Amino acid sequence: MQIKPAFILLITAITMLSCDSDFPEMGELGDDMRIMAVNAEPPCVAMGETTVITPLIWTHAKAANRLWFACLPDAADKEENLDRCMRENYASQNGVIPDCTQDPESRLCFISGDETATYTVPSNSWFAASSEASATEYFYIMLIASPALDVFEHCENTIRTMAPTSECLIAGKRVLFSSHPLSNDNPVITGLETPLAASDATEILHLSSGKTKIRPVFDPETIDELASAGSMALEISYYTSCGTIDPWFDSIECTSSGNSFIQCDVPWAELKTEKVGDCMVYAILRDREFYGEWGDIYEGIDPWVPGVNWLEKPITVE
Amino acid sequence: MPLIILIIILTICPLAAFGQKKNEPTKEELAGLRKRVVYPKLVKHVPAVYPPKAAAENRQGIVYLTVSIDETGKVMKVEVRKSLFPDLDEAARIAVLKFEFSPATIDGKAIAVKIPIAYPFKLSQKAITVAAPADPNNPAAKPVVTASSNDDKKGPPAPTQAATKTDSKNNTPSTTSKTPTATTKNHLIQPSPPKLPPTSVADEQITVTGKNEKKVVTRYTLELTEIQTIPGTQGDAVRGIQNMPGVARAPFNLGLLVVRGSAPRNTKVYFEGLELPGLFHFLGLSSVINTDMISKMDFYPGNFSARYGRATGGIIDIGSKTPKAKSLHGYIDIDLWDGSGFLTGPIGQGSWALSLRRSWIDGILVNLPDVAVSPVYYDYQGILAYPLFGGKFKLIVIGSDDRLKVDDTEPLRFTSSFQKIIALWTKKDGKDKYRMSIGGGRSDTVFVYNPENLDWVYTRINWRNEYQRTFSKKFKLAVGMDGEMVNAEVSLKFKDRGDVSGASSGSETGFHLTDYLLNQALWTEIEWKPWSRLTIVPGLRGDFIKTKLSRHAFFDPRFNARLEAIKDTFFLNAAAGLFHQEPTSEYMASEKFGNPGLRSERALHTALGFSWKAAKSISLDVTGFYKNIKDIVVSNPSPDENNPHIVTNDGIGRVIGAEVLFKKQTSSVCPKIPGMKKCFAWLSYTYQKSELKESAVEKWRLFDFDQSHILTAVFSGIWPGQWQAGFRFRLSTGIPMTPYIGGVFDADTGRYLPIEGRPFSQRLDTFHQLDFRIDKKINFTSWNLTIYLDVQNVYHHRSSEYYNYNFNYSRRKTLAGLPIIPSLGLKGAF
Repeated sequence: MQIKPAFILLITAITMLSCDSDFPEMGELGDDMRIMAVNAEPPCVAMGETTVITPLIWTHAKAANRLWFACLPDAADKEENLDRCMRENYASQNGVIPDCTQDPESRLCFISGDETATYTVPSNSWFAASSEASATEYFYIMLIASPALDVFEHCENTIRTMAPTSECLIAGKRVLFSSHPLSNDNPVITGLETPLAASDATEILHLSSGKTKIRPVFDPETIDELASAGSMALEISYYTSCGTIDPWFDSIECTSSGNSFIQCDVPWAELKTEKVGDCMVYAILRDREFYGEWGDIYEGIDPWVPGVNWLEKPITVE
Repeated sequence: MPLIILIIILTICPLAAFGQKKNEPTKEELAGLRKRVVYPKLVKHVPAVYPPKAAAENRQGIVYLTVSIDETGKVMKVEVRKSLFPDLDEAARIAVLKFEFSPATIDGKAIAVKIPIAYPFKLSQKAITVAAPADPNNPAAKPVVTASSNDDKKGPPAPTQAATKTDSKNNTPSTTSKTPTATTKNHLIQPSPPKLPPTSVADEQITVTGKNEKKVVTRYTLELTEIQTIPGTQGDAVRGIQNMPGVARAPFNLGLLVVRGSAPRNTKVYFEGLELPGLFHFLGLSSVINTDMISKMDFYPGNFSARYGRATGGIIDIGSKTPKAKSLHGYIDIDLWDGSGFLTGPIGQGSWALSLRRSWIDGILVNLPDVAVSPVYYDYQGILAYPLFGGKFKLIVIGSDDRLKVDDTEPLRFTSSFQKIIALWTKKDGKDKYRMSIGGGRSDTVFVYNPENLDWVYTRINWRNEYQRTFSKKFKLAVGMDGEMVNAEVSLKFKDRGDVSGASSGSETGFHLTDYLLNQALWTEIEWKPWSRLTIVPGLRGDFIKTKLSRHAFFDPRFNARLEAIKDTFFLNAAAGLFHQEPTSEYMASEKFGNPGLRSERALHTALGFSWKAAKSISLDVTGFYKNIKDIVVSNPSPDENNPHIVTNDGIGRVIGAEVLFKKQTSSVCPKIPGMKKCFAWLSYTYQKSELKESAVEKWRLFDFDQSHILTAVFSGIWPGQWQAGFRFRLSTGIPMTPYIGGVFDADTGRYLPIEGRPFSQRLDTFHQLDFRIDKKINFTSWNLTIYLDVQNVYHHRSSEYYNYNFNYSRRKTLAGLPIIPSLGLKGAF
């Protein structure tokens, strides 16, 4: 009886352990365009409230034109993910995506083509049902990014099938909807630290070519969940155009003692610069730990929507 | 009530056999008797006088005699058992009357005996010889009379010591001489055997039957001695199963048994009729049972007997060997992959055997490029066999342990182990056969990827009770019951992520599922021969299953027929039957994570084929098959109020195909290769198409392991000096895969979600691999040494085993299989 799961796990294990292939790490910005993060401010909204969604996009000397959509998933389907929400609603609406302000009942609607998206929770049946049930739900804000000027035309197939291409990238951000107060502020990174000094967010950091240890400096008070959680793990992700960062992804363990004392164990990462000149380091902080591989069986715990924020740090390698 | 009565009858019938009297000595008793006897040796030879008339008429041949010898070694009486000519008979009788022997003894006490003697008269060699050495411990061995040349025209010289060797085909001892020889039949007590090279456990031979006895659809027969020397198997007979028709290749050579398109869980493995949790170590490097612990291995790819149930794929039933009772034997076998030790010997009237194996391939694999994971495994088996209540009793322990060795920085741990103990009693009493067995054990599979921890623990008791009666040559009846009781525990531990309110403890949490399964089955099968060339085998099986939340009952009628269209040459086979299998315990245990309302999966197996024995050592088996499967458990893509469960019975499947096995057993009919004495070969080919439809609205798609073409070719030749060399070539269609056509960035996790393309719409590259093996055996006075070189993947073809994608699923590469791996092995046996 246990043969099947055992061998499925064995294949999983082999696959995971074999991933040290020749592919570049996710933290290396070798491609032309990359969506690295998206946040919503505020990350949780109630009826009638407005949230602003901002992306962090890396482009290699190209423009990143955007399309923003709002997608309301099937509330009964807890396992629905963001690609399915948009694909199925697109099909059910026969390929028609109305403007969100003009058709508030639409489950898939167009927000704007701006750099950021501003979305106000409409008074429609989906949100009304959630309010009546006193439920905390989430909806998606979808982003299509492309160097093409006419993103709609250029990425029509991607919008329909959710199959991205190198010139039509897709990202999705969950935004919480609840009439209850939630503790889910976006954390704030205030700077970047090296073993020699700390620098604030906007200051250009001058580094010698070679290896340098770095880690983020952030305001623990913005980790508002800690007050009730006691301890939690945050995620830090690095992207850089300066070379490589190892590890590009790590976790930060934070504990709270009493009401005010917060202690976080922030690990160092090693930045390895490859050439002299100006470049960027991006540090993205997500304030809740998440295990995507196992999420589908954590019924009753989902949705899990982290607060997220980032630091764009200019570097000069000398 | 009838069910209870039948269970009681089935239980009482074998128990009644305990009290029955012994009618005749068993083989074990005869073997024990032979051990105690010292045979008479010829100490004085008197040549016979060749009758002149017979010489003039050129009459030659052998006179077969029976010689009565008294307690002192004196010849008391000589009787002609098979006459040649009266004058030659009398000449031989008179000569032998003058022979003198050393006394025969039993337990050191002199006894009178009768021995057979063959007395040849041959004019051309002018020599007459005596003595008929034979192996008294081997009733099948033919005693051989030896002779040597002599110029003395008046009579033969004294017997000379015969040169000896082991027959390379059947390993039975024989004697040879450059002089003429003749043979006799065995007698009750035979002369002392000639001095032979030591026999060892490595010389044993078993038969692996591909499907079943003659009574079912078709039959493939493979000799263990052949399988053990197949390149790429490391001498592991069980791995030979993977080269059989109908068996697809699993990715990474994992040892999964994909039989006629069925999922691995649909094929069950039995040891002495009781289910084993698994058959292979990780990566399929080795089976969990030492080949020298096996007496038989039956592989049924479908349409199996009513004796087996709860499987919709195939069955593998492995029988344990009864260890040698004569003396202490053993061996040590080491190669690149692992090392093993085996020991067997007598104990009282019984015997025992013990086998241990431990791998060390992990120390090698970790140093290879692109190999990030190494298996570590060990296994053990122990058998105690003893005569009991006129039958045979066996106590068997078997266990296995596997773990993945990875880099210390990886938070991964994967272990799988099982232990089992089996008690078995069998008895054959005239027309009745009894068999009772019970086993118990525990298996544990743990997967840890810090901090997740997933653990399956099964505690299992199985039993089997069978009775067979032969009423006549035309009619046999078998009835039986079998069942099992399983306690299953599945636990998952993970770190608490809290809920949306932000309340998170960060502590470990999880769930723990427990379930039990109680199964009792009753079955009956009739073997009816309405005509001497036609065998019809109808059977019926009923299974009753109870778990904590569900109940299952199913009845499986089955039918097999075999027609001997041309006597001993051409057979037609046909079969049809129903086969059921209950859902896995994981699904039956929980409303939340499964569906206790699931029905059992049902399969209709049909097969039609023929067997052609083209020559004594050459056969061809062809079988066409079709399987129709219903109520397959599949994921529920959209749970709703009507069906809130995550799995349903909505799947249906169909498998159609044909298997061909061309087999040439070891014989001297071989291609002309310099010096080659004998060879064996087989060519196995399977075509199949297996498809699954997950719901009424879904389209048909390929089964996960579908492989259209599977070809295996094996050839091995035997040269003088106990050299053997051969190759194995395998080719199979790549397994189907569901491609990822890109990834959507999930801004909350910071990871990409793969976007799937059409399910199973692409295949991995065609697999092909050539393996080579060469063996050399050297005999010493009291032991022998086998040196072998087994080279896997001779031309270093890195097969595609799986797709590996980059972080956003925009690029992919194939995960390659093992590179060329030469393995040098040494096996010393005594």
